[in-house]
Amino acid sequence: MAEAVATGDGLTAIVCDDAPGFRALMAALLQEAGLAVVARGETWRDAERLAPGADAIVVDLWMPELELDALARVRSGSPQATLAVVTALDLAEARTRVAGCGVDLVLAKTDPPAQVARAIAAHARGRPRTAAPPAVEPPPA
Amino acid sequence: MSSDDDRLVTLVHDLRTPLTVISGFAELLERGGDTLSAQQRAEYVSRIAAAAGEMREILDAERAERLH
Repeated sequence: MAEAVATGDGLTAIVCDDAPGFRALMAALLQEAGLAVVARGETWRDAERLAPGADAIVVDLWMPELELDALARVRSGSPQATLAVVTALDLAEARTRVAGCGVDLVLAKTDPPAQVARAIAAHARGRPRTAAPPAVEPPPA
Repeated sequence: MSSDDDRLVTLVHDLRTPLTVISGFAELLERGGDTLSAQQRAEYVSRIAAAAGEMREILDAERAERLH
């Protein structure tokens, strides 16, 4: 189930991970790095639905399975966005698995998480802005 | 690689995410200092406690498995 979060100024991001604690951590750190995290999700379906319009798309690989087709659809639906995979898998293995899916960054959950968030924010700042508005969900009442 | 080695690799993998959550929110608490709202502080502490509980469950399950 996707959950709406607060929006902010500037570049936008979505975070999809089926580990709620890591999802919340990454959202907090991306906000700290200057990105407005406009939505969070926990499945590949959430990622496909929420990604259009976001400047940075941050996904886990196992949600709960690796779906390369879904990852490729996320990429093709948001060609200008930064697409970052943050995984607990060995990085070499993860890079091999996602090769050809158009992923910009493959980062490890074991790396210092603030450094991971800053790398994603820096990459997003270096790309052209997305034209469409982000898939912002209304905040809960 | 032996089955014990395989289990150790899996255990380490499963512990990585909650450990990162604990250290990450601890850093946010430390860096945020007085700028954090009471609500943020409470959420971060709650996330740390939840991740520690997750690690405890993983280790308890591993222990139970070994005792069988």
